[in-house]
Parts: sequence; structure tokens; C-alpha cells
Amino acid sequence: MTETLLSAALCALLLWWVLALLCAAAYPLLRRRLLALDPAQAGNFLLAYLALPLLGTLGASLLLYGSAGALLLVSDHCHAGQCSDHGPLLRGAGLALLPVMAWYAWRLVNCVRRQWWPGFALARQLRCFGQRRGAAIEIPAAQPAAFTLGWWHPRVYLTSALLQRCTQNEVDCILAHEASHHRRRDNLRQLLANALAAPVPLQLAATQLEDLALLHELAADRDAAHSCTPEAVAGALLRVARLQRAAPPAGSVAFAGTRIERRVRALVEDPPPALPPTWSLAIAALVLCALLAAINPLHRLIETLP
Amino acid sequence: MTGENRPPPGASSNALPRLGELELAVMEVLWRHPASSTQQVQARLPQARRNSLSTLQSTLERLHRKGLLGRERERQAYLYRARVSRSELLGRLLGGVISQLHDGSLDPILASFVDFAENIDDSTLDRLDELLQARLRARDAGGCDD
Repeated sequence: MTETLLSAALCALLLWWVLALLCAAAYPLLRRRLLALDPAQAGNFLLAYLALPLLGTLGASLLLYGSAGALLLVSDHCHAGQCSDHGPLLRGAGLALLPVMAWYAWRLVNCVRRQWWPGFALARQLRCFGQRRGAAIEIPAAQPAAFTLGWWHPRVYLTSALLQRCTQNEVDCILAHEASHHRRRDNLRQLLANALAAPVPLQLAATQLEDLALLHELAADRDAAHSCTPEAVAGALLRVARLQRAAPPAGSVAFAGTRIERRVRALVEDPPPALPPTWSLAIAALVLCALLAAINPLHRLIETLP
Repeated sequence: MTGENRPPPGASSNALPRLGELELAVMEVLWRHPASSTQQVQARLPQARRNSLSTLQSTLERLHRKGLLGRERERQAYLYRARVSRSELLGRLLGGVISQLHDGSLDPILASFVDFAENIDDSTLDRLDELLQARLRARDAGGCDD
């Protein structure tokens, strides 16, 4: 029993790693089509794609080591005269599991230490300095900036410089955009995406994570365009971009980016079509079939490992 | 009166040290009432933040070590004053946000209306403005046709 559990744990971790690498490597093939979709829908697809390795791993582990999966999906075979249904065993799984788990734990601790914890500290400091202004918090700072910070209870922050230099209509568009981030819990989705991409080297996952951030911005722009107009949101974007360019904060460096260009173009052009819900069901069915078909070869492959 | 206002060794001029809630509350008091003793700071702290004198003493000592407070000895006590203004500290705080956005470490927690890191050039902004104006003209022309 212990050997089966250790084998299942090790297989799950290794499978997650392999699937995450494969999905990250295959992403450039899907990227163009994905980015041409409605941004809210594309964001959901991309998050689901990032979750696929973990969900696939959980499903495969249940089917590989559950008795029903072994009975229905694995062809009959015997080991040393024992022909009962079984999960594939890895010899020395206990020893191998330790470094693999240590590696995962190290990556997680590193993420918390370097990325998430400073974010908490920053939110606390900004809250101390800020003053409530309707749904947002005003920070008395000279740099024009607007952002949403936090996961479970994200807050919208606007600097005094931005409020002084933008018109009421522009501020309304900015607030509508940030309210969309707040409503859709985009920061939480981004955090989840980062956690799901943890097994993959950052360089390999960077494109997916950047695209998800872009899709969140595009979706928030579209939401804001419902309460303002697309042109007003595009105008507010350009206004803030000019203000931030005119008053670069200390420590900022030149950075070539095309995100604003893409967002403005998306607002002034016709919105992309959304796929009908049947597509999502068809894709899910396809993935499930692939998973079921992979169980028998996977079982055999694991048993051939030294 | 002995001044101790030199930056302590290792205190960086630009990097903002991480500050706790009590530390921020103390800074707030000293911005409003410069040259306060430990007892005066304690009396001026909000009720919810009022700690024991020894806790407050170590907080002031820590802020002094971080280079955010200067102090002068007057008789038996130190008088503390903020060495950075509120706006300077906020500027550094936002500078920290920006540098963390550059290295991507805030991506999972912060969504900015316009990415601070995206220092887009004027010609691109002009081009996008023209595109927007063309769209507005087309929309207005369409509205007149109706």
C-alpha cells in the first residue's frame, strides 16, 4: 500500500512536470488563434490551458491508481504470476520522491518569498498612506498612476496627480476599467496562473503569463467600454500613457512595449467574435478522450521505468 | 545637543525599506509633530496602535537604523524627526512598485491601467491618437447619416 502511494505521488509530480513542459512548448502553435478571440473568453481558455497539466495529472493519477481505471482502461497483464488489477509501481519511489518534492517546495517558497510577500507588504503600506475616495483609494503621490492591488479583496488605487490631470470622464473610464479587474478577480486569476506554471522554467511560461495579463487588460477595456464608450476608454489610455511618459518616476527605465498600442487598436476596431459554448464542450470532450486513451500506454511506460 | 543625523552605514538613498504598520504610524506622527520624544510619540499614536514604551523605543531605533529618522539628544532623551518627507516616502514606494513591475514580481498581485513599465514613444502615441481621431470622425459621420 505504501509503495503504491509513493509511486502514485512520484508519478503525479513527474507527470505534471512533463505535461506542463509539453503544454508550454506547444503554446506558440495555439497563440495566434487564441489572441484573435474575444479577450474574456480567450482569458478563460488560456487559464484552462495552464490548468490542463495539473488537471490532466490528477485525472490520470486517479485512473492509473484507482481500481475502476485499472479494470476498464488497462489491458490485462501479470507481474510475477500476480494478475490482479494494479497501479503501476515505481521501484525506489520513496527515495526519488524526496528530491522531487523538495524541488517543488523550493519553487513554491521562492515564489512566496520573492513575489507574493512583497506584494502584501506593499498593499499594507499603500493603504496606510491612502484616503478613501468612493470605490477607490487616493494616494497623494506626484506620479500619475491607477492600479488594482490585491487578490481576495483587491483595492483600486489612484494617485492625486492622475486625478488632478485627467478629466472626470477619463477618471470614470479608468474606474470602470479597474472595477472590471476587481469584479473578475483578475489578480487572483493571474496568481493562479503563476502557481499553475510553477513546474515550468519561467522563460518558457513567460509568454503564456504575459498573454494572460494582456487578455485581462483587453477584457477590462471592453467592460469599461460598456459604461463609457470604446473611444473614451482609448482616449483615457492615451492620456495616462502621455502623463506617465511626461512624469517618469524615479528609477524607471525605457522599456519597449506594445501593450497600449494593442489595447487602443482593439478598442477602435470591431470586437472579435466569441466562440459558441459548444466549442468549449467539444474541446473538453477531446481532452477527456485523449486522457482515457493515454492511460494504458502510460501504465506500461511507467512499468518499464528502471 | 548632540546630532545623530548622518545616514547610517548601509542605508540606501533610493530603496524603500519594508515598513510595518506601527512603523508607518510612527512616521505619520513625526510628520505631523517633528522633534518628538518617545513619550510624546506614544501619546500621539492612535489608540489602536499605542504600544508599550519599550516596543515603541525599539520601533524608533529600527526606523533610525533604516535611515528614515534623525535624532538629537536633549538632556536625557532623544528627540526624533523624520528624515524623509511623506511625499518622498510615497515617491519611493511608487518607485518600488515600478521596479517590481519591471522585474515582473508584482504581476500576480497588481493590474495597472497603463503599465508603468511601458515607456511608449511619442510617435507611437501620436499615431494612436490619429487612429482614435479617425475613428471618432467616422463615428460622427455615421451618426449624421442616420
